[in-house]
Amino acid sequence: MAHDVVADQETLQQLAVWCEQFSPLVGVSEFSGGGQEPAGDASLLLDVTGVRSWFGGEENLVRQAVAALHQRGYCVQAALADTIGAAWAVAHFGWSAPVETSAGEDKARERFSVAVNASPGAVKFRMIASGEHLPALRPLPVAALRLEESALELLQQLGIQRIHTLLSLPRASLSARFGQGVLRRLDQAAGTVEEVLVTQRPPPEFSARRSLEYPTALGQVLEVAAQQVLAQVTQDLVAQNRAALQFDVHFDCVLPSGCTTVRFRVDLFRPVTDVEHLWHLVRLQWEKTKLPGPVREIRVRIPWVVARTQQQQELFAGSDGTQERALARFVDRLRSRLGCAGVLQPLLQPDVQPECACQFVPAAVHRSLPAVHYRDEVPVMREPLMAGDRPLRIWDVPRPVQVLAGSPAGPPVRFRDQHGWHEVRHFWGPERIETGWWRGHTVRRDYYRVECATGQRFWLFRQLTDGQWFLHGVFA
Amino acid sequence: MMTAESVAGVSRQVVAQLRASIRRLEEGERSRKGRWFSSGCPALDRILPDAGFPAGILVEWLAAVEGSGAETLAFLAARAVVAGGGTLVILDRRQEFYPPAAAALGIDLQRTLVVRAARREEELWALDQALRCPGVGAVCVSVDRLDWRWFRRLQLAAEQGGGIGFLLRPAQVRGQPSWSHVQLWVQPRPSSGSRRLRVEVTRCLSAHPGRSVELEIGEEEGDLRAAEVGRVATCAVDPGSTVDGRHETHALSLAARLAQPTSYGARRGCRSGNVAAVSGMV
Repeated sequence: MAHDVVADQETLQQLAVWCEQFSPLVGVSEFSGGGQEPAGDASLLLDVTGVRSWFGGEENLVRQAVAALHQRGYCVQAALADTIGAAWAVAHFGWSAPVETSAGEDKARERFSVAVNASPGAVKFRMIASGEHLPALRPLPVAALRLEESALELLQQLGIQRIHTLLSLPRASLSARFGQGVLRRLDQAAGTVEEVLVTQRPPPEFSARRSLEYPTALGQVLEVAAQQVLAQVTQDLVAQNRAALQFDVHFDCVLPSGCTTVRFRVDLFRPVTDVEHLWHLVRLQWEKTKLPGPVREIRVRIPWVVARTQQQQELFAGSDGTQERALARFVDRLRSRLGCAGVLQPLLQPDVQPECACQFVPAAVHRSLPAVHYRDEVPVMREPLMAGDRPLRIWDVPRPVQVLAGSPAGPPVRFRDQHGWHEVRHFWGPERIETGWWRGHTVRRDYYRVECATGQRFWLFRQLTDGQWFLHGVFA
Repeated sequence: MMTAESVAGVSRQVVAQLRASIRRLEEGERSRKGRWFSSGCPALDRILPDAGFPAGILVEWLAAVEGSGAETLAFLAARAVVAGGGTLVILDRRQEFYPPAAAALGIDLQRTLVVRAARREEELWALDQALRCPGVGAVCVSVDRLDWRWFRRLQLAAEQGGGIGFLLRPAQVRGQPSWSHVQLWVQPRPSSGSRRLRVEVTRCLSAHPGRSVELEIGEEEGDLRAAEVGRVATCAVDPGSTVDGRHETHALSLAARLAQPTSYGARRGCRSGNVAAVSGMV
């Protein structure tokens, strides 16, 4: 029988809606990868956090779900685990060989994984107890991690077949050699990085509009009108127990030549339903913009809606609730005026090149957690930095400086920056920093920490390729 | 007829009363909140007017030259301030801040926000917002020029938010009007290993300026301690001796000082010349 991808997709979507009897959040995993997977392979993902009590325990829930699907004529493989990644892996690869081959023969017989996203964690189903997902993953083949074809090929060439082999490699080398994709999938399966379940049913769109009788440019009138529109939308949100994470306010302005729309987009740090706060954020942008003409209509649209329960999430664990809220509002205000790239969180990267050892990511509650160490991880070869090792200020582009050195490969004796000559009294180094050949542009530098006769401290390096000296930072 | 001593005695009493009431007025909101933070180093605490930092103040760190270590000191103090909770906000308009160095100093980057404004006005606005936010424990920012209206506004913002604003400023601003609670002048000192710095109080609201200390920053842990120079170099002026016989000169300029906080303290700090703690340095 020919394989019909579109028909598969439609059936699966219908099934996803039907599965809503077991969980309020049902998604279809679109991932199709791995050599032996049939094209268009997809799974159903069910977030069953907190619903077990309605089914008399998790095992009963899965048993009922699998039995019900059986009755509809489907052969089901299900797994239940703490993370989407782990549930997917076990549902696809956590079986003995005969079952593995029997699946995917008939197009009408899909394979499913039932995934539990959070709380304690499957007829033909497997249950992975809460917290046991990592041991369950270890013996599985690396294909269970939902990796890209290219990454899988590379792993195969290197002879890495099982997840436990992958886990025993140092993290630093993983991201350097296989890219961030492998590390991200590994972290998603392990639960150290958040993965969002995209539900099958799109949430209803929240929007409101208000036309003004006469086009006006009067600030006060517009302010009142905009607040009313915002209040209307937030009322709808609250009624459905939802909150906004992003919203757009459009001002339709009348021009002699026609009509133009000015849009203010506000990204929120945490879900909000408070009109006053929302309006304040719009005003921060409005104050900086000059409307091109009188306003005819004000429209508010909320493209990103989340459940209100997510308000419990905290950016910095362990802090006080009111302080946390104050902080979220502070971040919202800053982001509204300075843009998303204005409020950042530093994230250290395992990279030897000093400029690349840190990333700045936009501050957000829905951000992935920083990488954590696995229990059995082989320690990274580099020693941890000591307090005096790195300067507090460095420049993205090192500044060329004139340096007098004792010998061609020796330490600096004097150097000249824009303030004049500095006499080097002490130096520490050289600290050789070289990047791998796989980076393309190779960096080879000898770094010196120097202290001048005045006590000032700088960070200099000699480029080993051409012997040029650069000032890279200052111990401010 | 009153003798010269009794006149001096009465005026001393009056000055003491005035000083107490000025201090009450100046502390205002802050003293009611009553929180207090150590700078993380007992030797540094000893030269600070309140033996540490009361909540809701601005602290100026004047860097004598580039690479003096003033910012490192400010970060170490900020580390101590946010240790009990609260977020550290770093305003970094010039995009030079290097987080791995901060992490090596023991700063928790998970509770650190870096704000990058494009323009100076926006950075001041962001600083004002950060200081006003109760969830923010400490703010570090480089500010070169600052007009007194903005300065006062920032000081009130800090008072409202209850955090501490660490302003890193060039030595040229020494003597300019200031609304900071304490102004510290940091000079690098030649060292033989661990980094050495001399910190002098050049201006403070509630005590005499002029006290200084020589500190050393541990190379491994980033711990701050008093530097040893044959003998332990500590405060150049004994904390107990701040109430001395120089009140009269103070009284003359009290009114002026009340009207506008000027460079009064800075000048005085220079003149008293209490810098003999480590004259044996290379």
